[in-house]
Amino acid sequence: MEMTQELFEKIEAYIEGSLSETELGSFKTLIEANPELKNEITIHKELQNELANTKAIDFRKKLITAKEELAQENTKQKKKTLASSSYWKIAASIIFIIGVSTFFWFQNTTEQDLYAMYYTPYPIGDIKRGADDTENKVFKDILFNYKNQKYQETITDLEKLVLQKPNEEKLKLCLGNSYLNTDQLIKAKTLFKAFSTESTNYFDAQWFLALTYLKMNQKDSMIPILKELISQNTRYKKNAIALLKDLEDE
Amino acid sequence: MSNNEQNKIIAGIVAGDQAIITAFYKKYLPQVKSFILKNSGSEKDAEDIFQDAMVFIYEKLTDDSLQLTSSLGTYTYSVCRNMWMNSLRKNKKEIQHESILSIVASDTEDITDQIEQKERSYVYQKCFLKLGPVCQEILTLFFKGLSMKDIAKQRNSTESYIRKKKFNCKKRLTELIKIDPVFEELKTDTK
Repeated sequence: MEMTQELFEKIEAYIEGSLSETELGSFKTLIEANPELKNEITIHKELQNELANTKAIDFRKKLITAKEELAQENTKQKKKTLASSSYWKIAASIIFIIGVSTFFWFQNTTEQDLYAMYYTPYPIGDIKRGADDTENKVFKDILFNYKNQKYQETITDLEKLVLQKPNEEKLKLCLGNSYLNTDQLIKAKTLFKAFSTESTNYFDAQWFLALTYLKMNQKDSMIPILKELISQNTRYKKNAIALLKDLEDE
Repeated sequence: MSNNEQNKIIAGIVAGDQAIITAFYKKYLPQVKSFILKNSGSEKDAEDIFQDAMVFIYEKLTDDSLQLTSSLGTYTYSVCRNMWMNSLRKNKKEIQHESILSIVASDTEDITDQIEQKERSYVYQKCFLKLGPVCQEILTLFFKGLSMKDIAKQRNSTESYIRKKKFNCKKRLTELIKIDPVFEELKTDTK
């Protein structure tokens, strides 16, 4: 059953008790014949009751802030520990890291394989060009480097351009892809996550966010995104179904 | 923890004091995380459970229905443990490490039903917070009972735009709810 604006408003009027007697009669018949509608009405009723109380939501926002503060502290702590290490310790760490990363590389081979199988760079071609010659020169450089997969070289220019044109979301997708390809995964994740649900490129960002999680080996975070891309019938649906299946087969 | 200290924490949580909430979070999350990681859970599961438990406790504190016979920290562990055990039961997994959390069952024996009643509501809250700020604001005003006309006036917009926007936001919210894995679990559980 398609959920239209008209149907939503009828559900709201039904819950509110403002339908006329005739409307109420025919709506009740529709509900009885349609279990999906019945479930939808239950959700609407519960939402009305639950979300009218903003105290719990406000408290939850504070918990999210606490979580973020804690994460930031942990990151700072890690950086501090790294910075305070003496020279020989760094050298020893490098040797250790090479060993560990080789170990993890072997462990994550499936994820790497899956990533390689599903990743295609976001096409830079249809981004609006600059208004003047200087901007066009920068844009040409970005275009050249991005198309030639010289992602490290393109990041600085893209970052500047994104700051100048914060509403040009396709540029952000290219920047996120560049982070993704240079293993700056936290930056990629933060950037893709920042896309609003109302953005026209929201699902593009979600797809690349899922691939970022794949690269980070965070399947728990990736699976709900893939499911959303499927349920929303996006252009990534086919790939999301296949990737989910591959993950299950692992 | 002294009674005085505990009372300060409780007052801070009820008042929404960010510093106290963060300090409490920092102090008690690691032990909950350790329990959940040893029992088939992930770090994300631990964060989710801990946040749900905190909301559960916050609501009990604000409606004055919490009678503590142990410390607030111990009670929090117990709520988390109950929540996680419920989740494992639904997924048919076994508890491997009861640890410290099992010693305080008496305080929370009667809350399993209350937790279950709240689960859907927690999914709704979490999905709501995934929406963008504009959607959150419009829906909050709508759920508070404001008319489309009043919301449009507040936002300096037109009634028809707000009506359309409210529909899009609510549709997105219901879709997020329907694909939420916990919501799916609850549906299966009630079948």
